[in-house]
Amino acid sequence: MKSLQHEVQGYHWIVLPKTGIQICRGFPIARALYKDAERVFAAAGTLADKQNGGQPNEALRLIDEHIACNRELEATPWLQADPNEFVFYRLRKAGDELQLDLVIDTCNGAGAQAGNRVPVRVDASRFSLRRSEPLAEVYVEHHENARNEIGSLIVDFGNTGSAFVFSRDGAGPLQARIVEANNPFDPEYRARSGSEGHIVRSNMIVLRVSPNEDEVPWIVLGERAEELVRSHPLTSYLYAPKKYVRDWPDAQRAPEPTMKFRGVVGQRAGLHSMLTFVRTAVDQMFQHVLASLTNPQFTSDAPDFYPQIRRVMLTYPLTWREVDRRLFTEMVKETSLKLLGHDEAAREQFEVELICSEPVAVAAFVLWETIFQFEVQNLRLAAASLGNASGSDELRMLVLDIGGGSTDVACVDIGWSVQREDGSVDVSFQMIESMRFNRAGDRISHWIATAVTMFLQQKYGIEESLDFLHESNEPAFTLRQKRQAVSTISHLAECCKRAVAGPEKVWKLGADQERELVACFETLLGGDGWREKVDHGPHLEISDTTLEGWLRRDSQTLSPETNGEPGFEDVFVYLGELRRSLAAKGREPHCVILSGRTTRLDFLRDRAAHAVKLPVHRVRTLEQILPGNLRRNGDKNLDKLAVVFGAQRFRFGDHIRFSAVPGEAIFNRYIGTVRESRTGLRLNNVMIRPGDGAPKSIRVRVEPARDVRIGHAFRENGSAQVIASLSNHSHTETFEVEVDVLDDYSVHMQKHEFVTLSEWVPGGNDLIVDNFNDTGRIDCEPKGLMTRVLEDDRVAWLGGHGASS
Amino acid sequence: MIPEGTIRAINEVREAYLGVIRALPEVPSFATLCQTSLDFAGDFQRLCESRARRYVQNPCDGRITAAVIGSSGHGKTTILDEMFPDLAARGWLETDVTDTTSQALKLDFAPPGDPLADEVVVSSWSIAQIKQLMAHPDVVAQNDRDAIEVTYLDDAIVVDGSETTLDERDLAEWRYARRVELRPFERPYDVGGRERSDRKFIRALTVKEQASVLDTGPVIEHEGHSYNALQLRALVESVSLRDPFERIQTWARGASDEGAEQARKLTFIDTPGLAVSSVAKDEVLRHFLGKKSNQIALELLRNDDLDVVVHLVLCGQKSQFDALWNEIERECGRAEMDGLSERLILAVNGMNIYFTNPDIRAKYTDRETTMREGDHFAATLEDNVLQRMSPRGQVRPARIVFLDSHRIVDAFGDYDQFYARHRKTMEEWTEPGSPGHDTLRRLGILESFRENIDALADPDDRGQGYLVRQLVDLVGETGERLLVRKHVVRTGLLDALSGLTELLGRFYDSQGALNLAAAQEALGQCLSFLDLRDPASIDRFAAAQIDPYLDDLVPKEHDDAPENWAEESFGRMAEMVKEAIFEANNSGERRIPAAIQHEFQRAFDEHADGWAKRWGYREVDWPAPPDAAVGTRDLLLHTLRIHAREILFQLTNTSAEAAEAANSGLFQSDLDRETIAENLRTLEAALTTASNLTTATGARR
Repeated sequence: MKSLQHEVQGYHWIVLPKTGIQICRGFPIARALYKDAERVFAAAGTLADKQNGGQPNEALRLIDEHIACNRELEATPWLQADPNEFVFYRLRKAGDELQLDLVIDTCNGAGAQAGNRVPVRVDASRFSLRRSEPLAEVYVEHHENARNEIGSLIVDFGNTGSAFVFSRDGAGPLQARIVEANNPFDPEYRARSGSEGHIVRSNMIVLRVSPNEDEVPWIVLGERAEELVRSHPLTSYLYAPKKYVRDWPDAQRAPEPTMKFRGVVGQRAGLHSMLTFVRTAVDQMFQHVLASLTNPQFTSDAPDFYPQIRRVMLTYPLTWREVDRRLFTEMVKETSLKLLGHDEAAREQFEVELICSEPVAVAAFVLWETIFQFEVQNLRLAAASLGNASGSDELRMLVLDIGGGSTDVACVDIGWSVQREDGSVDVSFQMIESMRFNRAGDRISHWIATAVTMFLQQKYGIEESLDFLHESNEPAFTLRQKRQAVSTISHLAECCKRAVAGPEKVWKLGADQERELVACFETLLGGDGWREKVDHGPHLEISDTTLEGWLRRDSQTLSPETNGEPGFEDVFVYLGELRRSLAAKGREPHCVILSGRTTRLDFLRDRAAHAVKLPVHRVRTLEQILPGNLRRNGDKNLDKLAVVFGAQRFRFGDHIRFSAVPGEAIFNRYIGTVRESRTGLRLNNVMIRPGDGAPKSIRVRVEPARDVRIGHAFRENGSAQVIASLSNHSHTETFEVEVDVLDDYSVHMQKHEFVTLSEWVPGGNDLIVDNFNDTGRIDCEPKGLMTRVLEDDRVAWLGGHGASS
Repeated sequence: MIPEGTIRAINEVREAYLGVIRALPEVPSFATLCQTSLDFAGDFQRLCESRARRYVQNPCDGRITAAVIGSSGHGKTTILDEMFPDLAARGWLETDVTDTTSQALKLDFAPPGDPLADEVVVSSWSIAQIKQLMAHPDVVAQNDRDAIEVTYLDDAIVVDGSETTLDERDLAEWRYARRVELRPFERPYDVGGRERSDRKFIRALTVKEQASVLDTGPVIEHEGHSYNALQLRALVESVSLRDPFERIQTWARGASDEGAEQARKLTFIDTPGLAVSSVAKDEVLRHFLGKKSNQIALELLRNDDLDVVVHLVLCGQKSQFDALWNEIERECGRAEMDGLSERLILAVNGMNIYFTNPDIRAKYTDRETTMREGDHFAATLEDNVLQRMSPRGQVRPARIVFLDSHRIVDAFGDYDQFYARHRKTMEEWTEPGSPGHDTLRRLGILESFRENIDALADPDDRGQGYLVRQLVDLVGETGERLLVRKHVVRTGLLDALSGLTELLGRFYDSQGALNLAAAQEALGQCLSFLDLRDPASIDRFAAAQIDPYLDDLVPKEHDDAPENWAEESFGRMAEMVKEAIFEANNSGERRIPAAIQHEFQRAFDEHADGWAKRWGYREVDWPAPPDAAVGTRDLLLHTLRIHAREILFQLTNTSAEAAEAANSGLFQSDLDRETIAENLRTLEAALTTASNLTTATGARR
């Protein structure tokens, strides 16, 4: 009798608190209900009608529209288990069986508290079961009762995507578990590319936010976020969150970027700093990670295990200052302590560690994999395979990471010593040069987008601006349509880059793509007469040589009005100067490692080889480091995974032990004030020379209401990069201020009543303001440069039609 | 003893290196090559970098340094006071204070009456060292927080706390000016006769005095600048003194006469305590000085000044060495701590504590406590010290020594009676089944502990003498290796000699004659089918002419392959590249003269031999035949594919450099040729000596 009673009760879906939005697809209902399946299904439908027919429940609506459950199945509408809790379910038919799809928010309400039970039931009055008998029950278990694995979480937080590795204590370097994150709010989850699973895309949109600050908002990340922003253009959307990680000193609070906090549903009052959203994105990513580790497929009826994360290890970009690193570390620590189920002792021991910079992580990955395959006793051959032809125990590796939003250049000096007694090797890394440009894949997309808009002007006479802030001449061309158009053009730019990087080396705008593109502007065209034009010329065609030609003209030197902002080509100008500087010191790189998605464009490899005067076999992508069959983790996303794996190997490299050594305390560049010239930025007044001991204080005179920029260059008369700017806010007094130049990139100044110092990210504005995706603005940095170049080159990409225009 | 021959050989090698790099830029043909080729000049400059290393600049005198490193309050000064009574009598070892300043005390031997015996030299940090510490992120952040402003001048640093936001009550205690200039000495300061015995002067240099007795006036005048005690605290890196080493020699003689001689060749370094105390007394320099102690040890290590490390820990206390270890790894890399074990002596101070501390006593007197918590050695040695010293797990020192001091033990009664009373207990610990026995055995010191007991029981030795004998013994065992490693390997001398030989070999033959014209002619003509301006040109050629045939060159899994199958495969690949070049040159109308082809072949074969060696094919350690499961064949195919291209690159590079140099109208006189030949001979001889030294002593692992 007792066992029967037991059987009639619903099974428990066991979840752990603070593990994000948890889903269990295909959860079995209580066996006793099998015979009543049809009636239960019907009753649930009725109940749903009743729930949804009354006061509209926004949370339920969001679940219905966005939750990652199969919409092709025959299922009841979504129901809420309890009107006050974030527990949702629906019944679905699977052959003869009836199953449940269950959802719980483990960060809000009952799901956030261990020991809670939430029954899932349908109204009993419609069928024979007793009222108290549920279909299932959600049970929130204590963390410590799950199978715990103690270990470290290694994180590479990126602008376009983030990757996570969980390394169990005592596990070897190859046993680390890469987190395949699932997006709980993605109805198209089945159609997404499988390879993207390793990467948690970083862009986010707010799905639901409550005015109550204690309530954790619902956030959508990745491709789905991009789709949502098209239909909800006024919602808070954050693209490339990492670029907003910046510690703003009090004196500079005013320019700190802010944004409204508005969800698809709900909002919070006022403006919120972008850092708030970065924090939210980090929070969300950690929730994703915990959700995916405990419930990897969203089908587990109990947690697979719970990661007892004792240490979070972070990589960081080259340009983060000490204060930025500290800020991010604190942010991650705060999130971790909030989400991770630690007992008191573990909380005390918990640490967030900055493991190494991203390029060093890439170098560590390359080195580890190479040494591992070649084995320690064959290190000389391993080094020679990476370009060291002299046979010495060293390697200078230049990592060129052209990502989505920025390009990092780092020359790493690597030395090693083998411990014969235990067959281990100690490898040390020393950064001898580094630089960052906020010019990368999105700049290339911007060129392509400019070509697309010019094509639309030429062929269809579409002149309307896509700038989100610009009021349209045609009121029907709304922000939503602009978003749609921008999104479509961005998608085409990606297609173009893919095609140009492929074997055909050329991209042609297909008729279907053209129709889809022009359809975004239909309200501006009046009628559908435009459709006839599609099959006729001109046609848009971009080849690798055309694209390369454009990029080669994207240089600061061509446009004196750039305000010091470099173009894409300046990356290679810099590489050339870097090579000269290193050669003069006898420290030329042995090889160049190309990481980052954008380096898939072949001509970039040639450009890099040309700039550093190395043959192309010494310039290699991550896929070309080892023979194909010896590469682990597959080829997909190696650009991204190399950073997180490199960081993991850096710390848990087994017999290959890595350490980072700080650079020499001397300046390697000329540093001084800068001025514009017809050939780009140049140093005006050199105050520091290569070889001078670092740090050094310099005195700079700033006239009333003026700015003075400080920059650096490899050669006294060479191209300069801005590293800081001084602004005198007094309109009457001139000041001579003392600035401490700590190294080639870092500048520090004590507080001054009237003069403020803002540090720049050398290689471009540190906030990527001209991003087409963020603003819809085209060709603004500097204004008209792309259009001028494309006009000159019309024949190449518009064929014969270009000439006539 | 370190053989004189080794010291002489080290000096011959460094003199040869210094002579060659001094001579080469004076040779006209070499100077022209440097002007015409940025790569050549860069390579030469890099190979000259070792010149700046102190142990290349200065002759090797066979001295070995032993640094004593311990935390504040672990009795280091008390022990040194008893080991160097002369020094103590001169007031340089203050045992009655805890707030000592952060600097190293360097002690060298000088016999009594020697003119150098009284010499005291104060050395300061360089401006670069001071700047580096002042710019430490923690120091910058702390100074920023307290609004202490720092100005970095070329030859000084100014620290200004005029606007500091520190607590007023704190500021009220300050005695020095709020604005302090730190200007390092250009040359060391030779302490004058009167100052050497002036207690006030010595205390100003070594002790952080109480505010009530503090004199803020200048302590020394040097190079036209005056320095007060606070400035000296920040600037002084070390104070070097001489001592007759009377006790040291007596103790070492216990080992052998040679031991006493070796002891005289030791330099003892007393490093500042690992934990810093009374930072508030450092006023405006508090944040900087808070970091200085560890930085001293770090700098000593970075400069290769620490051959043997004596880590002194008070019995029952925890080692704080891990903070220093972490800092060293952070600053210098993990390799810096490589092999520390083989030159580390753990000196456990205060043996009496095993008998006087009830908690420790319980670990060998109460069986249950022993079972529960481990024996007294497991707790005091393993838990407190060896497992804590390194973030990388338990350290196994070369020697472990227990010692004690008169001053402390006499507080419990007469020293010899105290140890006579406890001797039996100590001896029991060496018996199987007794508490402590297993740990002593595990640590490999069961035998040495028996000897150590005798030394401890001897009131004239107190284990301090035993420490000296162990030190001398360790130096005898590893000193030669440490010296060669320090002077030849870590200075980069060995690599530089090899690199210089190779650099010269690029353009000169063994007779010192430039082979530019012939090489340029042959290489230039034979490689003219490659477009040197196009970085992809080599790749295209190799992809078409080499890659498709590589698979046939490498033995397969079940083939009968020789041990050196990798090297042989490389040889076949190089041959194929050469053939492909000839083929490219002799296709269609194109015909290269036989003489040119012959010269090319000669140059190619000469290079190929070097490539096989330098690129590691000669030493490849992969079992034969290749194993598909571990992918060695695939790896080799991968490297051959890369190195086929690399061969072409090396040849074109040499060709381009040779052309550049040849076009500069380079002419070589007889004298020029002879000078180059002589330098080549010098280099080769030095390289052979250096290689033999490192191999024989095991200095290069």
